[in-house]
Amino acid sequence: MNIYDPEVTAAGCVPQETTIEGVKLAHAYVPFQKLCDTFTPEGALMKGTAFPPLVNVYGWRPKDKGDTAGE
Amino acid sequence: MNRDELLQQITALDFYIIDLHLYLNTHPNDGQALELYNASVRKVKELREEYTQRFGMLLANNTESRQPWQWIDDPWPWQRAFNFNLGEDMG
Repeated sequence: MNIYDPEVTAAGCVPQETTIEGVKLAHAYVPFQKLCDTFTPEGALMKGTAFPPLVNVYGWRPKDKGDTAGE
Repeated sequence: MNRDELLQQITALDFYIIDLHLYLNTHPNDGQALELYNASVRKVKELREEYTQRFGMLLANNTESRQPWQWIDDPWPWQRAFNFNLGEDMG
């Protein structure tokens, strides 16, 4: 069995907590991560993380050459 | 497996292990993560031993050497010739 195969563990799995209790105004909260599946070690090295839900969470993309600073 | 492939697998597993290590710091009771971590540590230990036997030392510390002392054999780990190319074909 390939332990890195997402088919084994990922079906129907939500990779984070979906309810945060006891929240207060003016405090920031980060939902707790839960493990569903991981990339293969080789895939993780390419992506920069072992965890698929943590890839490019801020929507970064390479700038086009024509872009100016601050855009 | 040739030298580059072996080095690439060791590098990938080392990185994967670091990421699971960070996850386990905040999820110490996650059995699935711990299983992946332990299996990967065992695997990379095997690969590191294979590499050392076939291609020489990856570290100057805690590594046995054949005669003569292997560490000074070229290329050094920080030289371009030592390293594999991280290509698009990976994973």
